[in-house]
Amino acid sequence: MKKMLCLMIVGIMFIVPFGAKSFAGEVDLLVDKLVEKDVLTPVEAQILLDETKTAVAKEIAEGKSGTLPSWIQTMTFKGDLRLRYQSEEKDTTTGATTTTAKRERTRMRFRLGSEAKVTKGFKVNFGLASGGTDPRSTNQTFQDNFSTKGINLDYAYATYALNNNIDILGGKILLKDTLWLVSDLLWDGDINPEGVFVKGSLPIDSNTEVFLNTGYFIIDEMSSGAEPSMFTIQPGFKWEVSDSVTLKTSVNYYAFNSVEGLPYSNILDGGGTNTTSTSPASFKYDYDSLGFTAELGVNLQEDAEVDEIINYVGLFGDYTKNADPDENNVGYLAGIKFGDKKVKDPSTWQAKLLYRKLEKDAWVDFLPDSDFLGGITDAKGYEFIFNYALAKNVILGLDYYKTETDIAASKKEQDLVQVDLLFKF
Amino acid sequence: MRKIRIGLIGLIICLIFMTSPAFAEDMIQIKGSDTLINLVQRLAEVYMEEYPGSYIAVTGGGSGTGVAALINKKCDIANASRLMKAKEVAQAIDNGVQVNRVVVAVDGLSVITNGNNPIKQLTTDEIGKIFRGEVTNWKDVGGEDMAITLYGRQSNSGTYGFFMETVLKGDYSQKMNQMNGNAQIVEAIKQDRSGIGYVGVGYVKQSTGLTVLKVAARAGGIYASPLDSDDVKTGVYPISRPLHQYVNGTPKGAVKDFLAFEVSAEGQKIVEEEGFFPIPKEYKELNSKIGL
Repeated sequence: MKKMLCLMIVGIMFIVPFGAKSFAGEVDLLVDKLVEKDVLTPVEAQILLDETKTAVAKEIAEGKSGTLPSWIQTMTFKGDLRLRYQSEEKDTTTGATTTTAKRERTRMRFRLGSEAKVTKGFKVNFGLASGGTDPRSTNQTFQDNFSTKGINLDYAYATYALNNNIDILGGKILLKDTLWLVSDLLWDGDINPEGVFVKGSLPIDSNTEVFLNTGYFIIDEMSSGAEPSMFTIQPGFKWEVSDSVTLKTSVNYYAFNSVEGLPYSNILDGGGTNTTSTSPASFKYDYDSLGFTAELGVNLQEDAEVDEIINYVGLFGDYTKNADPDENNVGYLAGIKFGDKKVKDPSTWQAKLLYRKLEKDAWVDFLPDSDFLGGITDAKGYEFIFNYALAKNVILGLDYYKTETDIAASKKEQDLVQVDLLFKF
Repeated sequence: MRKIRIGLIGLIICLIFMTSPAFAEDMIQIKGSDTLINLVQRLAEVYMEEYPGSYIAVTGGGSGTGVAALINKKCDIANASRLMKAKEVAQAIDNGVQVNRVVVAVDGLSVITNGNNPIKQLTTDEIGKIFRGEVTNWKDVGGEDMAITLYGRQSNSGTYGFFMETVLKGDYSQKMNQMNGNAQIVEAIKQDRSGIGYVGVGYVKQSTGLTVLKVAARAGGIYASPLDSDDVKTGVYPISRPLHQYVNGTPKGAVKDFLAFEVSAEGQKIVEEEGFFPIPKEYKELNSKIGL
């Protein structure tokens, strides 16, 4: 009898999948009535409701629900809208002459992404984003008398889970699903590289995990001659030193193919900014680089006797060295972040302070953070970031950059302020 | 060509390395709920004394942390004061984790006020309005003319989620102070005459300077106390809840032995000593489905 009731309730919950909260309330009332009539004890009723919820969640997760449209069971969506006010002031000094350029912009960014399960072990992710074809920006400036704005394919890739430890990805891959990064010293967060990638991780014990990421990315297609491309491999480990302290670190190796001698004309948004050139205008050096990344996180809320204002402190850094040139070939970044570990729930916040220097031939100039002195090399300076959650998934952000060139004959200095209102869904 | 060879070697190393079996591990790792941590630590201590050579590590972090660790195969048992969410169930399935739950104790989730606050009882509807921020002064629920100060848990807490789903049926007031644990809520309310909060009953049975409110499911209903074991076991107390442990698959070996100890008469005696309530026969039947 009770099994029959359970089956009936599961069936009812499947039949009316939408308006879940109000309908769950109706199921609760039904079960309450059965308790009142002494058909079920209160504990049996609780078990029935709990088991039903879990059974429904499992069926939907496995795509076995017969009443829900299959796409609801196999696809998830997420996205965000960011509204930004940006003010920048750039001084360029050549000899004794300094020119100042000021600019204010109001911008937006819209992104919509989806993950679709294809079959067991296979899934496809794709995302659309505002902006133009610039790989380092999905911003859209408010301009051109209310013109409609473009949407582009931001990423689209397939993932095959070889086993619990290894994922193989192919396509235009979301950057955060590739290398482990703690900063945008080398990779602007909007870049989604194109190629194949393998991600592996292996728990050594309950506190330690080793990982190995490796991939091959195509930079451009050439009608004749070798295609510029890059290979990367990143071994590392994550160690939970204690309940409150975590250390994660990796060694990063990049090998570029056919970038030396690549004409700047082949590069979209980059090429020839401050890097050493050869004639005709092209990259003089190769950019095979070795470096490391590390992050030490301390969760201060563990074992706290009282509620803390600062719940989390993280120290992080990046270092890279290009093996080809003999000088101006190093890049590094050091940063501290504190506040809450994640900014999502109301009143959570996080502040970050970073210093970085990217020497002129340390790295290709079409990959670094485009907001840091326009994304060029031969750049150094500070960045301060503050984010505060006004409501769940509604975040107010401030990003301030104070940057300058290092050795360029034509000295550039830039102050950039960005005030963001981000809505995640 | 040299770079391509390096790449291929890297890929092969990656595949060999990642497909090798994980190191054997004898220690039982338990992670999760702050409500359960003291109880499970005590159970583990007694178990390790009785069975020399066994080793159990129990850590907190909240139900969400424990469940995430189980999903990522970083612990053997996840303590949870709430059911797994649908999203977590889906992640577990994606990761090849077959979750099974064991109920180890029953909690009368207790709504507490300062001992000097004259309010002694509320309905779940009134409590919901208070924590949603719709009622902000004690006089609106029959108390003094005094602004209400809210104390609750952080969102990674199972208690936070259970209370929201069962009592609030909506979002918490943004003015609620989000505390790190049950003990912090108890201490804060002892010092704040205007405060109200919610904690596991195990944290208030021995406390002084607090009022543990009687709660009725509806206006005109029976006001019951979470300190009354009969009211909690029979479900008359409206915000009682089972306390869960999740495991991957059917428990075996050391994990099964420890779980069996927890739900045994000896383990359930410890449950009572720690301020919670032993599991009724219905939960024993549920546990027996996975061999306990």
